Amino acid sequence: MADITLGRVSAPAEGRKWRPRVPYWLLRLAQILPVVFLIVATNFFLLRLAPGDMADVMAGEAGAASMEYADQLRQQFGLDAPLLQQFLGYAGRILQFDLGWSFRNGQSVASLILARLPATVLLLVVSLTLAALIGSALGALAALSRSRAVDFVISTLSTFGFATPLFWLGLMLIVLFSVHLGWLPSSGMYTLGERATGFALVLDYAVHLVLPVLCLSTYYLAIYARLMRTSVKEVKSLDFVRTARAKGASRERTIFRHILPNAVLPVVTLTGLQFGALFSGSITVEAVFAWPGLGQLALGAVASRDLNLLLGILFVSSIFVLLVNFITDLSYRFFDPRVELSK
Amino acid sequence: MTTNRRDFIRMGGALAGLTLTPELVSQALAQQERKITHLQVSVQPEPHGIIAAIHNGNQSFVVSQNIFDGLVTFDEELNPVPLLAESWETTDGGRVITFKLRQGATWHDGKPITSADVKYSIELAKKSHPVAAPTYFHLNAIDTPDDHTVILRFAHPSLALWHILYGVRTGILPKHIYEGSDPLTNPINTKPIGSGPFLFKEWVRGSHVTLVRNPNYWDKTKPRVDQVTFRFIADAGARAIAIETGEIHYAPVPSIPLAQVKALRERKDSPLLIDTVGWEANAPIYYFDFNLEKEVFQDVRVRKAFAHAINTKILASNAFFGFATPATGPIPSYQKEFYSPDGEQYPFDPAKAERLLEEAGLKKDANGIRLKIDNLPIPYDDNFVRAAQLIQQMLKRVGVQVEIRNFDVGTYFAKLARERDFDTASAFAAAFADPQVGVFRRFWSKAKATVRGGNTSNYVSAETDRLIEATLIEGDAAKRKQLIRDFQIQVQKDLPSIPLLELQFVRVISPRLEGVNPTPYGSYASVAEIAFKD
Amino acid sequence: MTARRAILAFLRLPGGLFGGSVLLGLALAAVLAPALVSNDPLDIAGVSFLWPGEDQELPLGTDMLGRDILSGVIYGARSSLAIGVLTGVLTCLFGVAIGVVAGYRGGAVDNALMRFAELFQIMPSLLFTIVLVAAAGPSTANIVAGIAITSWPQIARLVRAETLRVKTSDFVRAGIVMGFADARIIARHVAPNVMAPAVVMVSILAGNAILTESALSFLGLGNPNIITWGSMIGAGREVLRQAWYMTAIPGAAIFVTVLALNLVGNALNDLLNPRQEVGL
Repeated sequence: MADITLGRVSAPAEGRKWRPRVPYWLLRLAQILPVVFLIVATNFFLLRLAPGDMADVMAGEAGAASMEYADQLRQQFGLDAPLLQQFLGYAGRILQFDLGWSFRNGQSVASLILARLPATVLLLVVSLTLAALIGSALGALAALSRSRAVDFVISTLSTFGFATPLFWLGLMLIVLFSVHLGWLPSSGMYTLGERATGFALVLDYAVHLVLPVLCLSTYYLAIYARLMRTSVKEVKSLDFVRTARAKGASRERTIFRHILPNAVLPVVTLTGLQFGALFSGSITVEAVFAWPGLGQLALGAVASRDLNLLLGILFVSSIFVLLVNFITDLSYRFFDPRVELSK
Repeated sequence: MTTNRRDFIRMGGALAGLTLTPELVSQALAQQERKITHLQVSVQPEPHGIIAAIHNGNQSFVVSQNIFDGLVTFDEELNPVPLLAESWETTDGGRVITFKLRQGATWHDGKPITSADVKYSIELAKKSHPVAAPTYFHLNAIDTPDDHTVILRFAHPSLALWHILYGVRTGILPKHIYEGSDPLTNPINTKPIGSGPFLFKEWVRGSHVTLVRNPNYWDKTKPRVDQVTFRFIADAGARAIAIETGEIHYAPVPSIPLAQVKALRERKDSPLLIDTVGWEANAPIYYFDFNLEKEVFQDVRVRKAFAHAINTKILASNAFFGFATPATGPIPSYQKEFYSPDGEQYPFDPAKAERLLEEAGLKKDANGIRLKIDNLPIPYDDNFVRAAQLIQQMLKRVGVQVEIRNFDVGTYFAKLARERDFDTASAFAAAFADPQVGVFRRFWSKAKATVRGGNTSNYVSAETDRLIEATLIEGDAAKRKQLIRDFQIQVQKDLPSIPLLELQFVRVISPRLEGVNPTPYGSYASVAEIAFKD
Repeated sequence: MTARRAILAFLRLPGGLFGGSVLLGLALAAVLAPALVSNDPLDIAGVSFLWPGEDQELPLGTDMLGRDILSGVIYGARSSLAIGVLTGVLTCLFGVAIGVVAGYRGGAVDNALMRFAELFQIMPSLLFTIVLVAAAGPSTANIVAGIAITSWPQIARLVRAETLRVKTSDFVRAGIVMGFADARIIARHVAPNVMAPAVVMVSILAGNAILTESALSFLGLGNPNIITWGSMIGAGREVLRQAWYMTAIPGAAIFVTVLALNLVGNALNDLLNPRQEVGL
């Protein structure tokens, strides 16, 4: 369902030893470019290998179209050009941020993705923020609590979180909160019809967000809780923490000034890495809750073999994850107290 | 992009111009006093376009019929009823039809609807419409002596013509918007300018299309609601819940899993009207196709054995939950005029099936398997995969091992039509109200190159071809009926495809509504006559 | 530590005991499926929509077609466990090989392999698998391949880091100086150190594979010729309101299995690397 990722995508310290003059961000950027190329190449050729293309789908949906009709469509969309030519064309256009035209939707891919992106970003950001805040707090609590019961309960709950299929959890939430209790809407992002305004509109969005966010954040809450617990436990046993305590710092001061700031670093890294995994999770959650985001768009694109659109979504989501990682890497170096110390 | 903007401004200007008339201002004020009525309609899946003349598919039709009027619509007996055409006259033994167009009907941008628009649209349909084109094949000329007269001249009379002339098959487009462009990729298609009772307002991809009342519609009694929103809820469970809770008022295309329909109907606290009315003229037939290019299926005994091995009653009750009846031939019983049960029948009889397979030389191996084949279920609904799973079990009992191969829509059609990479397929096709429109395409050797619902078996029979081709140009109803009867007997004897079930599609109607179109093509019809009772 | 003592120590951990027995039970059920239940999970066994407990013959009820749900859960264990174990092992082999090579060789080889790993960590894994399955067809082999392709970087990174650490140890340096073959050094010194965390990861990845397969089946992209817990949930979703047991039962089966795999992973981890948590 999601990636459990070990280690960093790339340790920031690696490059510094052997090429001190090149700014780190530039180095990191140079590492990113081949990955971007690999993303485009992999996806494009993967999709092209499959039988059946957009023209077949459109002709098929047209009820009883003839092969000539399908061929006519195919020619019109440039689907009969040589493969390499199609790929070069695609890569060239991508460099100009032109993601192509979705024939099935009669709209440019970029505009389709842009239209759906906010819904997915809203879902991801709210879920991730909640998961990070609550998960980290629970993890820290588990690690720092003097009561073994607290640790046991939190650890057990986080293990449960790992084992739950998100789509199944979503369906069970619908059964409970929408079907039996009738408290929350089961689908969509807002009430269609007479659109509310002002506070009522915000409330409307919030009400629709509750179940998908609850569902999507469960898994990540578990990850954060577990990671934070490990991280705090590790930092707690480090020398400088003992020194601080020995010098007479209070327990609270040690926790908030010494342990937590250091323990939170791996959590920052994870936030970047988990974006890709989080997107994976959002595909099924969007399907369950009819959330009008990129995941739904992608499933539709797979079903209708909308090549340009599917490539565009894979590309944009991959670039999105890449960028988040890039920023996390930079911010990691910026916030890392140990890096500061070594200056 | 400039075209988009210009079109947009043009449309905006047209709307702004409209709101200035005093009549409209008072109408708007009157509307403010009463509550705005907003009809919520479920359409599933989201159509790729919403203009019937350009985008073919049930979902496209349902939305399109509200934005675009056709020349005619149908009454309950499927007689043509005036819409954009006010009257018509047939002369020269059915070869010439003269239409008088409605005076005062306008496009949504304010321009009048003229014979030039109709001529342009019929020519487009003749050129590229997948279902209508064959019937227009014998159309020689379209004359437009004045702005409101259109004369169609055919080489032969065609008794199926009306099924092609109505709005779903021949959509009428504004020539001044489309002329000189490729209609398929014209950017206006995402915010169409039509002629119907509703104006296009917005299309939010993956979510909904909203239309608003056309205050300038020629029929002042319509539409009866102010707004209509077509919602696309992809998840079957979520959709069913939205319909049950009354969030959705009307679902013309099948929206609730059949598995749930039965239970919903039986529930006392859920007074939803769930009915097969409005889908009769679609008359879908569910069938089992053989790829006759595979040697094993060239033996008619094998094909007949399969027919004896499949229990259609179980399929109807368990896979389609009673919304189906066993079929007796290629033409569904809905086409009363043409339906004939006189063809050879193949009742469920596994013992006979095994005998036939033995005779055909297919002996069981050590594992009890005599034949391994694949089956491609049509990927439109999970029901068809589940039905294929039941067929898989039935054939297993006579020693035939079936591997189900499940694809997305695009791959499915590529395997069937282009690659011919399949042994058998289980699919459905709409037969419509006349065999010429929906049935012949599956058995005519000259239709073998069609993608969907075409002659996927690659069945070639000189006798069947002769009967089909004679039917197409037969002007005498009685002779035509006889030809179609002979066609059914021939096809049932050859059995290139096993007719399994006559399917029934259902639509769901909230008890709050009145005026839902009850005609056999009613599911396609506009919602202009629908109103809330309360 | 002898094998016997190791097993005893493992079983003393409550999670390990629970997870281990659940997995053992599931494995037995999967192997003995035809002996345990008489109904073919894909064939009609009785009246449709039978709730659990309504009929003694069909204790977990039937689905919309009238297929036996108990039989589906047991046969589903077969496919789910097979997919989980197969994917876990494949991922592990692939990940260990690449991780060892990258860490041991270093330089350009390391760099190239790590870019490659980055590619599959960046691309949303479920989306990638969906595309692969949509392109190459929904066979079990393709599903396993899709999951493995997007999971190996996790093991590769772990193994690479471990290899880098071992490489600087005195044993290995001495080995290099003495001119031992790379293969011998890797086999003698790198592999033993790396196997423990890799084994831990396999159990967790197997759990993830089961979750991913169920998500694919749920989305209708699974193999229709076999019954899996995900496909059962996908079918049940349509009738969620009237028959939620059809969704709840296979979902609970997934939950328990993945939970057991995670618990076993944790227990193995506590046993094999007492100082190190699974570095999520």
